Amino acid sequence: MLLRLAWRNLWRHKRRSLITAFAMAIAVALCMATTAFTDGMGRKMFNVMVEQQLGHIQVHHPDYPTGRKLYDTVPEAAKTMDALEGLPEVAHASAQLMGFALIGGAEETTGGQLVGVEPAREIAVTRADERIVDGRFLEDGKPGEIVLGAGLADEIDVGVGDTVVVVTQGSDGSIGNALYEVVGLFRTGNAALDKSGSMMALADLQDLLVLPDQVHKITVLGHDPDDLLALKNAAIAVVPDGTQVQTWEEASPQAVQMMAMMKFSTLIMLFLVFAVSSFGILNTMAMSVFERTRELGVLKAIGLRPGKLVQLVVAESVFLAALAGSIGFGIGGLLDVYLMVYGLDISGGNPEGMSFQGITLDPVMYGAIEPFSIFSILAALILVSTGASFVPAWRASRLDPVEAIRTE
Amino acid sequence: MSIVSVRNLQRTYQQGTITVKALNGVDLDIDSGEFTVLMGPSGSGKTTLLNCIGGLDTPSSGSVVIDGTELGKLTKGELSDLRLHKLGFVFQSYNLIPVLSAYENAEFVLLLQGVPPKERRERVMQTLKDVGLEGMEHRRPGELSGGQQQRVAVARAIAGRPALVLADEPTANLDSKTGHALIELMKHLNDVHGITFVFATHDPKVMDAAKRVVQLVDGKIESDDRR
Repeated sequence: MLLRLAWRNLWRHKRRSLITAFAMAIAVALCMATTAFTDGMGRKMFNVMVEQQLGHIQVHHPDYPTGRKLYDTVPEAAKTMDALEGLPEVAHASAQLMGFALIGGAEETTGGQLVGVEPAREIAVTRADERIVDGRFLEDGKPGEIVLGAGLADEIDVGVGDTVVVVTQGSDGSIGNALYEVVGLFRTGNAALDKSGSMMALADLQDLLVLPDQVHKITVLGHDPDDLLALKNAAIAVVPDGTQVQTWEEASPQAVQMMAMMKFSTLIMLFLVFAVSSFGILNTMAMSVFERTRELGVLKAIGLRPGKLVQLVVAESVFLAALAGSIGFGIGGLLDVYLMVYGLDISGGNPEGMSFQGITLDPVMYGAIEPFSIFSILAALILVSTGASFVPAWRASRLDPVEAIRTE
Repeated sequence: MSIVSVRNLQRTYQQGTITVKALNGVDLDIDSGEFTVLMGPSGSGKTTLLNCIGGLDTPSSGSVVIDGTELGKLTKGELSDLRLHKLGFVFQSYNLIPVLSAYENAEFVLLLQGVPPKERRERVMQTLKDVGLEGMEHRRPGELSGGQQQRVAVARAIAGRPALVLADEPTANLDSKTGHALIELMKHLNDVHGITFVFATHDPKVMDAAKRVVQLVDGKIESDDRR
C-alpha cells in the first residue's frame, strides 16, 4: 500500500514530477554519453599503451628500463621465447631488440630508433601490421627489409620501394651499416614513435648490433589481462637468471596514473552533474512534503510509524529516480550506440588526429561501454535520489501530528 | 470496565510570557460501549483532552491509561502501534488521503495492522456497507460529498476494530441534515456494534444523542451527566 501511495503521490503534480524526472534523465543521458566517450578514449589508450607497447608483462634486463643501454639484454632469446610460448597462461610473446641509428634516404638523414622483431610474433602481440598505412609489414624469412614511421619517412623523403642506409655502432664497438628496402610505412598513434621509429627483422638487427641471440625486451600477452600476477609468476619460472619480469603496471606507473586519472575525472564529472540534479529532487520532495503536512500528520495520527513515513517519502523519490533512470538510460543508450557506431570527429580539421599525452588519437573517436561506468551512474542516481529525499523524509517523520493536522 | 482512565491530567502551554493551563487536573473514566461527548466553549480544553487521550499530545503531568496501557510509558513507536490497534480517529476536516479510493482509505489501517487480504477485503466491504457507502468503494475523496467523505473517515476509524473512536468536531464542516445523519450513523454503530465513541464538540445534535455529557470549563470538568 505504501508503494501504491508513493506512486500516486508522485502524480499529484504531474508537471513538477515530469520536469524533475526529465532534468535527471538528461543528467543520466549526458553522463552515459560522456562516460562512453571517455571509456572509448581510455580503451584506445590502453590499446595503444598497454597492448601494443607494454604488453601485459615484459621480460627484460633489470637495468634496461632505466638505462636503455645496448648491453642490458636478455640472453638465450630463442630458448626463452619458446619457453614463454609454452606456458598455458601465455597467449602470445614477441621479442624486441632496440638500437639507435642514423637512417638516411637519398638526400636526407636523421636519427631514429631501430626495433628488431620477428614479424609473425610481433603481429600476434602488437598487431603491428594493422598500423601499416602504405606498403606492407615485414615478413618472416625476408631479410633486408625495413618499415618506417610515416613521420620519419617524410623527414628523410623516402617511400615504399626506396632504399635506406642505416648506420650504427655495434656492441663490439664496430660501425655497422647496411642497406634496407622500405617495404612499408606505419602510423602507431604514438607521435614520437611515428617520427623516429623503424622496424626490421630481429636477425638483421642482431647482426648489425652484434648481439647474437639477445633481445632487450620480450613483450607477453596473457589469456587473462586481469590476472597479471599468475602470468608474471609463470614467466619468472622460465626466464633466464638475471632477467626481470614486470607487469605493465610496474613497467609504466605513468600509464596506470593516466588510466586512474581518466576514471577519476569521470567520477568527478558524475559527482558534479548529480550534485546539481539532486537539488531538483530535494526541491520536489521538500515541496511535496510541505504541501502534505496535514496529510502526513493524519497518517502519523492513525498509527503510521515514523520509519514507515520515511519509507513513504523515500519511495516517492525512488520512483521519481526510476522514471528518470528509464528515460535517461534509454536516451543515453541511444547516444552510446551512436558513439560506438559512428564515433565523434575530434580531429579539429587535422586528418592525422589529435595528440593527447603523447598518443595520437584517431580522428574519429568511438565510444565504449564499461560496466564500471554504467554501475557508477546507476549508483549515483540511487544515492542522489535517496539522499536528496532523506531530509524531507526525516522532517516528515518528525512532524507533530497535532500541529500538522492544524495546518491549512 | 474502563477503556479510558485519566488521572489529574495537566497540560500547560507557553504563549510568549504567559502560561496557559489548557487542562487543569482532569480525572475521567470512560467505560467500554459509552457514547460520550466532551463539550464546552472554545478554549475549554476539550480538544486538548481528546488529543491527550489519543496519544497525539503529551500531558505536562498526570496519566492517561488506555485499555490498561499507560501512554506516558510508551515510546513514540509504541504509541504509534497503540493508536493503530486500539484507537480510531475522525477529524473535523475528514482528512482522507486524496489519492486513495474510499475502499483504500478504509483499508489503509488494516494493511498497517497486517490483516490478511481475504479478511481485509471482507471487513472493508462490510464497514463501507455499515456506513452506507456501498457501491462507492472506488470513488476518491474528491468525487464524494462532504458527508460521504466523513462517512469514509468513520469507516477508516472503525475498520481496524479499535477499542475507542475519538472524534473531534466531526459535524462541524457538514450541513445540519448531513451532520444529523452522521450522528445517527455513529449512534447506530455504538448501539449495534458496541463501539465506544468520545466526541469533542459543541454541536447540540451530538449532545442530544450522547449517553454521557462531560462539560469542561477552563481546563476542568465542571459537570459529568450520564443519561
